Amino acid sequence: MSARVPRLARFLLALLIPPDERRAILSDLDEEYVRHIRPVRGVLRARAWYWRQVIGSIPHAIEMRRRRSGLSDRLSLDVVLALRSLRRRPATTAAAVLTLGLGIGANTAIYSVVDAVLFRPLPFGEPDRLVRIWSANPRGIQRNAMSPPDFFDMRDGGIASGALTSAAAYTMSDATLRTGEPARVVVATVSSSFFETLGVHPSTGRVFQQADARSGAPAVAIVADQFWRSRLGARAVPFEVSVSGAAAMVVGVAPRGFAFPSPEVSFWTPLVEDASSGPRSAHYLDVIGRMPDAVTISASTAALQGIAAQLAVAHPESNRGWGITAVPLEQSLTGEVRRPLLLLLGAVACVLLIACANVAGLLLANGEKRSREFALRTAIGAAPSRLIATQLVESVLLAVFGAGVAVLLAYVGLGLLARTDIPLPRSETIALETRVLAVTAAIALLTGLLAGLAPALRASRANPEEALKNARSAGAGVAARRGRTMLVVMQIAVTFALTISAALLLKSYSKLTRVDPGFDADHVLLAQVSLAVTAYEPDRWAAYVSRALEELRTLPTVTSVGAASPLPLSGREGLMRFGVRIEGRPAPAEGQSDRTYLRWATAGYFAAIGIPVVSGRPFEDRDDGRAAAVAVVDRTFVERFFPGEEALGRKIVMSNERGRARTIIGVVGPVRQTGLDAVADPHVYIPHAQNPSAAMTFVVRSSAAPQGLAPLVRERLRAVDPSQPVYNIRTGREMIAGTIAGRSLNTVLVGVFADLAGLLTLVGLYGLMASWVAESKKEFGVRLALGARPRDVLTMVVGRGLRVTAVGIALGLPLAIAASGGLRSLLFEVPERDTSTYVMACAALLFVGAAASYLPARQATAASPVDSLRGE
Amino acid sequence: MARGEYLGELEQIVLLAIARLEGDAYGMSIRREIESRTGRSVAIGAVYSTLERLQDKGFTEIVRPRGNVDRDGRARKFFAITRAGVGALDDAAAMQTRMWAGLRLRKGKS
Repeated sequence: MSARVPRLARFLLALLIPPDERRAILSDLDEEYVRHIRPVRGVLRARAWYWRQVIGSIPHAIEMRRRRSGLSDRLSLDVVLALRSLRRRPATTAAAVLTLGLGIGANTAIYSVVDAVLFRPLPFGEPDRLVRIWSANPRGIQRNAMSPPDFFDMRDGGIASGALTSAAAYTMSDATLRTGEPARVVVATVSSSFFETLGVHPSTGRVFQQADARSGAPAVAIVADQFWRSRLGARAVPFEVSVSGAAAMVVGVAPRGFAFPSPEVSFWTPLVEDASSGPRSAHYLDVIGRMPDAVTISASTAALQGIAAQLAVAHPESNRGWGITAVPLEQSLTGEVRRPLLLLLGAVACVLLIACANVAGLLLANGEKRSREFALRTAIGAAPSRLIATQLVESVLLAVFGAGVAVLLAYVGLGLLARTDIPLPRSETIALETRVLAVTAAIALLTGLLAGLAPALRASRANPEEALKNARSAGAGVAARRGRTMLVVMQIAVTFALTISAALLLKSYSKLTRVDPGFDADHVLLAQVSLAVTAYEPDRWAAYVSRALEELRTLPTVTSVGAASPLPLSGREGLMRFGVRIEGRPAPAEGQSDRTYLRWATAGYFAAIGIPVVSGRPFEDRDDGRAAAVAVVDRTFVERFFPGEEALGRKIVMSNERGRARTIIGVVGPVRQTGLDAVADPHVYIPHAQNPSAAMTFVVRSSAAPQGLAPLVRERLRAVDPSQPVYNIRTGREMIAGTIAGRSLNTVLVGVFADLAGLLTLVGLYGLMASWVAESKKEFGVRLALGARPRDVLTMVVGRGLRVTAVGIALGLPLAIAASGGLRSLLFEVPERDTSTYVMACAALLFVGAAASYLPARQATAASPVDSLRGE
Repeated sequence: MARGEYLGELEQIVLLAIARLEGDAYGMSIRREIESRTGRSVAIGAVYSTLERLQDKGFTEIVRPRGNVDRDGRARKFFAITRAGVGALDDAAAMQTRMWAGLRLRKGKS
């Protein structure tokens, strides 16, 4: 019912109302909104009403809080005084609030991401006891999927030896839901102990039991909460659905937010567990285990390693040389993004530090102007502690207002982030929630104290005699300026490190985008189908694909059409590696065979995706099920297996094809598979018609812009079979952009933070130089009177600004070197101590230094000798 | 009643709304009553804050909740005027009447 209440407004109000009245007020407000306001005024005006109610309530909520806290009179007096003093200086206040808002806001946004992805415990029971377990294959691949028989032995042996309390396996696949409008859904097939192992209970219904996993047991399923509500009308369990042509009884609903192994999963179904569940060489299960409380991960791994060794003895033909890898589940989920995210967190922390220094500088400069006020208060008996309190309360108040701006900025920022398609694990849980806001509050408080510290100490040392004598006290001014100079030097140092990091990432990113992916993504449209999930039998897959290709070929502007699986750059998903044996060479021992990636392709595919045929010929329509078995290999394959030999005409046998020998008829160029930064692996292509695969992607090359073809492609494929869902229609460019989206976001964000830091530093340095020039006007006037040329004065001032900058750069150098060391693993073909980058960054900062001092320098040259003499 | 405890404008209006609602007075019904009678939109936070202040001064009391519950299924707090509250309203009205007595304001120059 409250789903359509303006959430941000409600949240703001909830934050401010004292807890004892929170529910009463909010539920009153929501009820009024839903029952009386929205039905009468319409959604838009009702939302405006709600916001007005919230904003109007804020002062009262604060008053209610104050009444409860019994806030000491002295502190409230300080607050009132500070508020007044801030209102008297609107420009300074606005600048400080905005600066702090930017700094804190960037931190809040990034921290909320980092918190959701890295820091918050996994939403499972005792998540620290969960491990991810892989088979380690003899060719050095540490993280290989496991075969079902191996999993059963590993689970039973692990539990018997006390290394595990339970274990579960899962694998994901596509299916078509036939209840209602046909739709592609992702199904996770899981062992019966899956939910128990994770320590998760369904919100309704039951989990799987061992009986569900017996072959011939009635088909059951557990549905994802979100899917159940949005697509299945939250029907009461149990109810029946039709998935991929077979009926299954939904017996439970997973708890809200449960998204393992992936947020894409809509159904979990039980893995059939019987003795004959396939060969030990078919590795396709992902495995997790739960360790007993007293067992460490190394002890557990050692015990499982022992079981792997026993299996290798018992089944040498399939298991010799295979071992085990175990890693804490949390680490396995977030390992790849950990470093980039911490890097971002470091970068925003730098920005905040700089913002903090700027505000401190601002307050110091202000303290200068207010020194008479402080001196007067000291003279009439104010204790130094009172003066410190005044200044600290003021800066904390600034930070509190800054935090308000920050929350708004972070809210907007996260909204933008949600629209970008970044591949982040657990990103579905990113939100501005209480934990994040608590951290924001803490940061704001700390920032306020930090920024106020230097000015507060200055204020407490106010010397009444000096200050009240009309003359500006020279000694105190010098001390304050030295403090401000140190702040600016520190800002420059931090900015330098940040600039270096951003430049290195940018350089690496631009190199990455220039990598040749091995195909031509321009003018290409892609559309995916998953045939296994319709009522199709495998022998009809090839027929469907060839009919679909015929349809697509007749579309206007289309120059070539093909289909393949998996596509290049599509990552590891759907990618299969098989052993390959070359006829005429001795067979390697089983389990030690040379492995290669296998792809399915149709006639026309190479032309459509733009992979060049190096020698021989591509697949043609005649390479069907009745023709001789053929294969196309890529150049990497030739270099690996036939160095210096002719590959055309040779025969190879793939381990998944029961000894069927294929003649190599063509060699094509290599493509990048897992990413632009990954090395090319050997590939074998086989004709789809000779060994059909269920998942295929149609590739349509057009002479016009490919986006326009999307509706036509969808329509034609629907005409071939209306019940076949088509999904993931996108252009080749979009596919490539998707694979580097994470990197590009990272690069853009670090770049933005570096720019922000540069801007704040510019402002800081400018402020410093301007006040120095203002104070030394008399000196410049005298110099000019004694015959100094304006250019000399200009050089003197700018030179001073550059000296401050140079000191900052020198101090920033070790910082930058440390930062770029941390970047090493994120850089692509860029050395971490890239000289040109360092030189460019130095130049950029010196330019900032010169720019910041130029305007004050111009003012210095305008100093009039007459004025300075009259001032005496 | 505690002498010298004057009623603020909003306090008076809230007290009058409670009196009008005759036992059906809780946060939102008070807000609605004020809005429909005066045409003035009042923030819910203002109503609650004023109710709190009135209770501190002893002008209102919480009466036993009837069957009426809010969205979360909790019984609502209903308010009634105490004798001191009635006294304060009387004083306020009397004070106003005395101040207005015999006074006729010319409308005109602003």
